[in-house]
Formats: sequence, structure tokens, C-alpha cells
Amino acid sequence: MQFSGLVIGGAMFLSIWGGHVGVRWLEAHSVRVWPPALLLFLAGAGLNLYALFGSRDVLLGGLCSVVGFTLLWDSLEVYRQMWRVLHSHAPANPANPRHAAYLAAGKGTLVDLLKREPQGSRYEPPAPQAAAPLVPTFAASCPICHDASCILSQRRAAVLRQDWNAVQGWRTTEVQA
Amino acid sequence: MNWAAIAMGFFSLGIIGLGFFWVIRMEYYLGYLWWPYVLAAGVLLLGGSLFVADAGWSALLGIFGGSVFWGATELKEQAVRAEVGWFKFRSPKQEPPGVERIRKWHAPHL
Repeated sequence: MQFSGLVIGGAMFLSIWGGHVGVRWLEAHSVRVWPPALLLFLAGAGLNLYALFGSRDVLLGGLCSVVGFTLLWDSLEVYRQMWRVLHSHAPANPANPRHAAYLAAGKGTLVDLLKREPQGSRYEPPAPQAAAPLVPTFAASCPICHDASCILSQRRAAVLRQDWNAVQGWRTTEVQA
Repeated sequence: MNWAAIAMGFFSLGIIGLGFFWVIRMEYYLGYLWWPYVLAAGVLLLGGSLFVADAGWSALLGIFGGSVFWGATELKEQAVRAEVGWFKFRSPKQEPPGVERIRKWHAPHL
């Protein structure tokens, strides 16, 4: 019996599964999108470099490469997930300041439209909700010291203010259009 | 340098890309209720890889089987995406054999 196929095929399915769930979670919980994307890219690239230069075994190398390419794909999927949230194709997380800013700008939804059984006919999703009464305070606490006056807190608050200004810009453009 | 390993990675990337295409087309023409047959095809391909003597060819068959297995779990979500208007919707669709029994089963999704 040759178990290479079962091992690599199973690993590929599990890494796609983990990628699906992980990308949604990372995008929903990250204030900035690029750090998880960069982390996934580096992990994927590292696994592929190990597969190419570090492993002599076809099974181990193949396993690393298959999982590595899945992680590289996931690094792009983080951005695609952000697009889905912005276009109401995936639910926003109001606890995430970036998503809260989307909702406040009238973008995104809290409804998960994919969480239903297919009916066999066209379905009209509910109209996007009105702008949520969420106004960011731009106060961010440092994940390490939890002190609002530390430099990391101030940096995070500046990032939130930047996001807020960006989505305000989109709203103004849409109203003018 | 282990080029065979990287070739497997590229193959998996291509087969995942192809997976997105065939899942959309299959759901459009046949519908998501074919999922048990697709799932069975994935299991058969993964099982078949056990009987291929060469490790490389067995791995490629396993990757193909894994992607077909994943496609079976993606059909239901694709059906919902088409129903809400994110993809083209077509009705009626070709129903699979044993459709009444399949309707009672919970379609898997990731």
C-alpha cells in the first residue's frame, strides 16, 4: 500500500479547511490586514523554501510544498475576505474597530448571508442596514501594557483615525455621485 | 534541490484553481444536490491512491482526490451564492438519482 497520496491529499484538504476558517477569523479580528497576510506569506514561502532546499524526502517535501502553497493562497485570501466584508458578502465584526468603521460608513452587514440552506430559487437579501450608530473614539489600548498613553496605544489610535477618515472619504464620494 | 516537491505544490495550486471553476460550472448546470456523488468520487480517488505503486503518482492522485473532496463541500455554499445573486443562477437543474433521500441529508461545508 502506498500512503503518500492519502497523506498529501488529506493534508491538502485539511489545510484548505484550516485556511477557510483561519482567514475569516484573522480578517475579522485584525485591526490591520497586512500583518496576518504577511505572516501567512512568510510561512508559505518558508515551507516552500524548506521543500526545495531542506528536504530530500519526496513525501515530506511534497507535504511542505502543498501546505506552503495553500498558505500563500491564504495570504491573498485575507485581502479578498476584506473585500467580501466591505461588499456585505461576509459578516462584519463590530468589535473590530476597522469593521466598526465600515459599518459606520454604511458599508458591510452583520448578517451572514451564506448561513442558510439553498432553496432552489432566487433569494432577495435584506437591504443593507443603515449606518450603525457607532462612532469610534479612536482610543486604543496597548495589547501588552493596556495603558492608553503608551506609544503603541497612540500608534494604534492613529491607525484607527486613518481608517475612519478613509471610509468617511468613500461615503462622501458616494453621496456626491 | 527537491523539484518534485515543488512540482506537487504547483500541481495542488493548479488543481485548487481548477476546483473553483468546476464547482461554479457544476452548481450552475447540475445543482448542489450532486454533492454525495462528488464526495464519493473524492473518497474513491484518495482510496485509489493507496494502490498506485509510485509515491509521486500516488501523491498527485491524492491531491486530485483531496480537491474533489473539497469541491463537494463547496457546492452548497456556491448554491447559496448563486441564489443571493453573486453568481449566475439557473433553474431548473438536473436532479441527481436519489434526490429525495439526498434532500434529507445535511450537505457538508467548511
